[in-house]
Amino acid sequence: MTQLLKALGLATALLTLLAMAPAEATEQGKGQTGDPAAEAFIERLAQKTLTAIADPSLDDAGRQAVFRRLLVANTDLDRFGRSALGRYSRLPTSEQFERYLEVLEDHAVSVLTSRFALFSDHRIRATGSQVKKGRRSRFVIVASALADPSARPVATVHWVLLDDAEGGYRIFDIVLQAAGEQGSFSMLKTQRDEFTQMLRANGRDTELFIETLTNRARPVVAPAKTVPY
Amino acid sequence: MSFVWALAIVVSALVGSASVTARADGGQPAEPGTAPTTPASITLAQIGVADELDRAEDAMTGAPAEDFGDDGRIYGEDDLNDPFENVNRFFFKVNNTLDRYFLRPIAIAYKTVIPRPFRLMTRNIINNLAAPVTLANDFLQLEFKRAGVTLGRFAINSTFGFLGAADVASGLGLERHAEDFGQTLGVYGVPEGPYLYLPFIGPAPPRDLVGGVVDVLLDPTTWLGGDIVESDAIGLEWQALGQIRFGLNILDSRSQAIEQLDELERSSIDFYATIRSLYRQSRDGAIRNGRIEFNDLPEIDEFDETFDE
Repeated sequence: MTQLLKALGLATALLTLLAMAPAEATEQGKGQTGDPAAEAFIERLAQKTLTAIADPSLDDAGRQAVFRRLLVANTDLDRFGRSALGRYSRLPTSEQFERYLEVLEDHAVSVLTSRFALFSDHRIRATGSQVKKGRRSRFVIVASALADPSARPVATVHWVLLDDAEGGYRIFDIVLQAAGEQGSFSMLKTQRDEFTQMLRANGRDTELFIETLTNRARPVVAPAKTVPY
Repeated sequence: MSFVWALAIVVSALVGSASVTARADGGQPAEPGTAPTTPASITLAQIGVADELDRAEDAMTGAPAEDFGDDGRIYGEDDLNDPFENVNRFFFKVNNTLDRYFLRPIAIAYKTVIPRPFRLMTRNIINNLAAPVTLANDFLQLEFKRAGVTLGRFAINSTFGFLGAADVASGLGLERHAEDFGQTLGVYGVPEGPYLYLPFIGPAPPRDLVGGVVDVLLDPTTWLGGDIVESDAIGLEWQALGQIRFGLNILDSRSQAIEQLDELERSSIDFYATIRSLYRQSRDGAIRNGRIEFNDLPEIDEFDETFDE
């Protein structure tokens, strides 16, 4: 028994030492070219959003108005909306698609404002980025660390940006990975699973889909004052 | 794998606190205070963003339709694979009703009455007790370095951490991770199977259901009999310990997800579909151990001029 315990102890010690050994350079770190401008863009945008949401001088409507302005200016809602329809992305007519986008924008403003409000006292810091170039298009994934007021890490947030060819960036998707966890969650993927479910259930009726979306989406609060942003 | 698991991944999705996520091996949220995982661990290859944008472009330019294949990437899957949806939705309502009137109020009381340090110690002990299952699955996946982390954590936290109450190992760079047999099956290519949502258990597709049963068998406390503590005043059996752990795990996990789950339920257009999506994304990420391959980054096709018009 003593011998067995000794052997187990030795094995534990060796495995632990192996685990604590400095990690070799990973594939992820090799040859990756970052984009400091994109990282700065995300830090500015995230902080601006959180600051606005935490602004005590704003009521709910005011926060939503600020958030809408930031959303419209900095996201690629057209591509997001089309992609969120998944295999049904070609179903709507252009007129239906416009109406769908309006509802989607309202829904996003309402939902994201309240979700960001949960983290209004948190900080976001860019931790790296990668660039993917096509022949004419360019994408950047910015990784950022979300930390609570005591600097405790909460999550890693990956921002998938599309370079709009005018020197600006547009957010295409946000992927979250909670601290200490391996699972990651794409906002686009989640939305798509929800929307394709709805379209499949209603027999691919786009009108009914938009109507359902309009009815179920959380209403936007009408602004009651001038928004100072 | 439990109902709590489903609740907990929701919190992850909402960027809940680091202590919120629970896992399929019985649920072990990460401890507050742990260091972040390796940043930038998601790449274009994993999420297939280029394909996704191509798809959006095709749609907007009227390009011919093509089927969306299941290529395992975040954006690649478009098959709901939920043939028992009506039954699943029924049980989803049952579980939500039980949660609303039973579990959630108790969780609120637990969070209100029990001071945070005690809740943290409880969580740490639960995590520590799950280490043998994680260790077994680390080995089954031939992840020896991760097995070393698990073993080291268990040895250090069980001794210097006062039977796991304190997570000393994280401070030494041995970050916690969780593995379960469902993940092990996934690593070896076993498909998830049709989505199932069961009463009390929650999301349980066949692969994870089988995995959950095997994890119970892998857990040493399942096989330990007799007393842990035996005296005239106090007696505690191993079996009772398992039941206490199970109950506390559910309670603690739920208590950390109250606000976030409420918010997600309010904001979801189809709460059931949202939970299903988050469950699958979480499991996919767990099976990959968060690792991403850089070698097969897809080329991004140029956008059509009309796209930007």
